[in-house]
Amino acid sequence: MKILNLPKLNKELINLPFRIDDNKVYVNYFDEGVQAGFPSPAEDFKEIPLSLDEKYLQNPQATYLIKVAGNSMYPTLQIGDILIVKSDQEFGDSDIGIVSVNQTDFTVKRFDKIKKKLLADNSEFPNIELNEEDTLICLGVVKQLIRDL
Amino acid sequence: MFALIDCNNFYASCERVFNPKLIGKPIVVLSNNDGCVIARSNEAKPFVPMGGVAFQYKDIFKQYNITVFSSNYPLYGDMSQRVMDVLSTYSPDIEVYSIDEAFLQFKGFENYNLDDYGLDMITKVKQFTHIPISVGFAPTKALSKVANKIAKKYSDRTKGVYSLDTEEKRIKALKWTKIEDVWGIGRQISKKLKAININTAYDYTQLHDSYVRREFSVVGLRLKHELEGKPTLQLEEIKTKKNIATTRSFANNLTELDDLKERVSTFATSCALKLRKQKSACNALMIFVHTNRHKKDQAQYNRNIVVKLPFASNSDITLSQYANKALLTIYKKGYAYKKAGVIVMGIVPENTIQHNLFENENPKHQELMRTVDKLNSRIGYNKVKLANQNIQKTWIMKQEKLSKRYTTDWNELLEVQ
Repeated sequence: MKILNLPKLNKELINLPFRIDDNKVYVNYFDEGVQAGFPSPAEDFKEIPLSLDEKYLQNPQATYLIKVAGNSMYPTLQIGDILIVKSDQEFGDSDIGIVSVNQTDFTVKRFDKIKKKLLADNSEFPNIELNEEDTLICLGVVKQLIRDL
Repeated sequence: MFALIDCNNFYASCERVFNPKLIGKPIVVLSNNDGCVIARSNEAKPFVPMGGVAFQYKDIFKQYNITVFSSNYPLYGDMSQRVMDVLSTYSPDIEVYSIDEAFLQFKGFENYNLDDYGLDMITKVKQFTHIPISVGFAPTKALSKVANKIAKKYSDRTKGVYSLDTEEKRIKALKWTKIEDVWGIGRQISKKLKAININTAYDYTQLHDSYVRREFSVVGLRLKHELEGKPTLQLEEIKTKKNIATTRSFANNLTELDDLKERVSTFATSCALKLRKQKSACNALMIFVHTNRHKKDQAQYNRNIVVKLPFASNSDITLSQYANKALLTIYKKGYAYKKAGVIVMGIVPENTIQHNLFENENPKHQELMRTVDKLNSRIGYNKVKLANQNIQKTWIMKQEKLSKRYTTDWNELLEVQ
């Protein structure tokens, strides 16, 4: 009988082992400090327990989960994606935000701060020009997305 | 110094967070089963009174283009938690007074510019939660109520913050405050006071201590001292009719669910008693627990939850049952709890309670109740209902007018195109 070793992950992929404490899942994330060359022997090899909640849902009072229901940001965003939206972040140039222009329904668009436009990543959808007299409400900035494959 | 922070037209503001079309438009929110108006946006206030019976205002709603909502307590509760969480970053001494109000106490803030601090609160709460708030600063709780009223009333000038930080301002504010608007002075007492020509809060402070004590008991006297700027009320004292709540800090920390259950049941029954005393009933409860915010070295946890009752009630059994149910969903093991509270919401007159199956205590009914809950959790919110809850309704409103539970249900997240 042959014993097969599991093939190694190639350089594109890194395996992050995780452990479960109570009902919390922690990813064991190794902070190796400087990646270049070899780790300094003086530096402790530090293991940081990182929970997904702590990483992605920090500041829950300013975090909103919002679902994509249209194709205007395809392929960046796809229908059914759940977006993690933060209202404690500045809506900066080329950020994707949940926005309402002149009190229309919220939509998801990319911000072109220099040209004063809201861009649809999907070229089949129109961009929105912003004029001086327009009011823009931003519910928050899209920081991550969750997608079921 | 104390601050009273309250959310401007909280329910209407919550509805607007995810629905920008409604900004600047008139909105009313109705109680669960009897269709009383329990909240109004500023734009709706001239046309619809608080407590108005909804079907009598059907034409008015149409005429003035008023958007009508059923009360969406899961959404309001979640937004409230967000606001309170932001506020508690400003001071560990916080008393959540109702779903949309909180007192903060500031010790050693003498050298701060409070107005700037208040503006910072407003900006941060607005940015994080999109809810507008007003802030009133004063040396006592009763005065912070007054300051808050001024901040709100003259928001163009105050930008939503007003502090009674000088004697001059205090006197001016008291002269401006009608006696019936003073915190804790009910209708009957204000009648009595007006009869002896006491028309403003200032007039009240000019009475003699001994007279006030004799006529209006020690409670009235403490209020007088508060208005004079002598702090006599600590956090967690005084409850008025508009706000029925029972909250307590525990002498010793509680860790066990059973101990907390006992406390929460007690709080709920005391709220029920207060409701019965004033011939009202409530449509929802807010329950909260939190650890000691001053003990930075201990694990911190604070949560509130709002539960909707299936019918307006003021019965001990119903209120404590639901309070405990709510507690179960927010209780977490492994924390040392310092404080818990029950706040009743959606208060309506007792005579609007519809009689139904569960008002008498019968164990069979509880069983049915459990089944209904199970079914509801399996097939979705409120699908199983009592036939008698809806029978009087001739126009379908409850189901259709409910906004989504944007922040508490995977199936009801805001969808964007």
